[in-house]
Amino acid sequence: MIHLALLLLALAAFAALCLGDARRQVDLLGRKLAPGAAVPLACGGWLLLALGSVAAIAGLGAYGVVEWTGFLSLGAAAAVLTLSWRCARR
Amino acid sequence: MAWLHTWAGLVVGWLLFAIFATGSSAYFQSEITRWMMPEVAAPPPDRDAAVQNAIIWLGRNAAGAGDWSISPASKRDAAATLYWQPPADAPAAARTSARLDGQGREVAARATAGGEFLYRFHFELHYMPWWLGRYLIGIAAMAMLVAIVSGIVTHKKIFADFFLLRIGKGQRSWLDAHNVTGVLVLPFHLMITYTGLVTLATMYMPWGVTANFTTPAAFFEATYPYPEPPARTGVAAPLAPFAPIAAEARRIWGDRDIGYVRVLTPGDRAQRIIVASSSEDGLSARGTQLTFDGTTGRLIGRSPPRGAALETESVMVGLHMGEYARPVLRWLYFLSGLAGTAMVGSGLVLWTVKRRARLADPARPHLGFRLVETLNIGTIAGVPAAIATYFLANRLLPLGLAERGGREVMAFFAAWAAAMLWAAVRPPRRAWVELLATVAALFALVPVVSALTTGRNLAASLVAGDWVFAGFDLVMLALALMFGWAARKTLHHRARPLPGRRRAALAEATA
Repeated sequence: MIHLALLLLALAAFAALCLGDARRQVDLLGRKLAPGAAVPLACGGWLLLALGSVAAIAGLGAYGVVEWTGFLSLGAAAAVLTLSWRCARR
Repeated sequence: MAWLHTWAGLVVGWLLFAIFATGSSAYFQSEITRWMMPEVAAPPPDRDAAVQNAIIWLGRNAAGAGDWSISPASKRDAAATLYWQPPADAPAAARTSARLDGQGREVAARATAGGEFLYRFHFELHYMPWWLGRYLIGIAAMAMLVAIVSGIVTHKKIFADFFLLRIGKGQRSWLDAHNVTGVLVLPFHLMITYTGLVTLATMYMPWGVTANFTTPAAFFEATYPYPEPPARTGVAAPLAPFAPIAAEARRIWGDRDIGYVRVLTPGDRAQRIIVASSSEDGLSARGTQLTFDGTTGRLIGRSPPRGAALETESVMVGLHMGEYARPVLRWLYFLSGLAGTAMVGSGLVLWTVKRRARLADPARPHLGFRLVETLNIGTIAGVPAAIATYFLANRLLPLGLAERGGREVMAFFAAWAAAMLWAAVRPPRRAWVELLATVAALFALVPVVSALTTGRNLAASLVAGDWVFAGFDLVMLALALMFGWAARKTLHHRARPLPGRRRAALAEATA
């Protein structure tokens, strides 16, 4: 259960960070978000990352730190692959 | 700094690719060994019973030995492994090891080099003295560390380009792939390279040891005690039952289970039982040892507590080996290792892609370029081909063949050499397509040949819930798809010259 939570937090965090970058919004959504949306999205992304680390340590201790790092890579890779797949289809 | 990154990476790149590929497989070393010994049924359920069975078996079959060493099957092994020192008067060819199943019977499995060959290759290489292999690996790892750090410095837009992976844009795509596989998995790359060096640090930097100890053996005795068998008294005595000893050890450790067990001078009044804690139950790789009187079963000693430096080293080694990792984390380790392999591979390809545009006559490159390109093809396709062939050899070599494990290893290197040769004689584009397609076919063949020769096919494994066999077959198929896709991409690839202005911008970005 904790593994799934860490995975979802990492995915959500990198999705938010990605959308918080104005240049990626068009790539991902096909349109720009409102100009005020970028900063809250980016902040939300960082917050989700922090939340993930807290959840990992609370749920799994020192072991959780290692696993959280692994899920960070996986979440970021998922964001990158989605993005390049969306771009390739356009 | 860019030249440092380019050359530190290139010179050892082919070796690094092989280290990363085989090292990644080592996270599933036990599972690979289980797959390579299909005769072994389900693993023993209970560790204490496995040790007790091993003691009974050794009492019958290795009674005069000076030292028994028992590795009860870990959570992931199929069988307990026993080693013993034959008595001094035993013939030179006397057996020194055996594998037992859950019922304490000797496993009658095919001879195989198993997952251990791939694991050993990744830090000792093969066909050379182990110390030479370890030095070569150390040089490669050091160059890797230099390449990673200089790569971070060189990669100016590390955050701006964080999410950028453009497909089908030639050199740009190779650069993106190299950056993405490097940056996204950077914590792993830094950790694995640094801790890899730490595992052999006393060999690479022996001066601390030589300044403080008379011999390296004295250092190892002080830091990682491995007691010698006590002198025989000549009075025979039975060995104390193991279950109470195991219970006492678990009570002392609290959170750790039993790892390996040694019995010194078994059968004699002076016998000792040494129980080491498992390295699977915590980040720290090096367990602690408890010594029991083998006749009375009383606790008579424990290994001294480790200082901060040794404990740090122990955790670093633990992080590298990942023995503590449960399934989810083990897969993350494996995937990170594959990303590292892809990072090294894409870096090697990038070297040629970048320079091809600048060649005076791309149809007739100079010798250096041709050499790099051949080694690239022969390694990036050759190592996977070698691994797939190694697995196929396990299923196809006659079961009674002498030196069977060694022949599997020969098949590994023969396939790699063949790929290298093919890369040398064929035009590069054709060699890429042909070899990548061959690798895809070889990986796809593994589950097929395995099903035909053992009767254990993927569907049956899935139905039976045998995740070691099902997982192995599925990974082989996934690799086959990946290499098939790569072969297709290479086949349909059309080199498109970039406009001059963009080429200049790109040259600046990849400089």
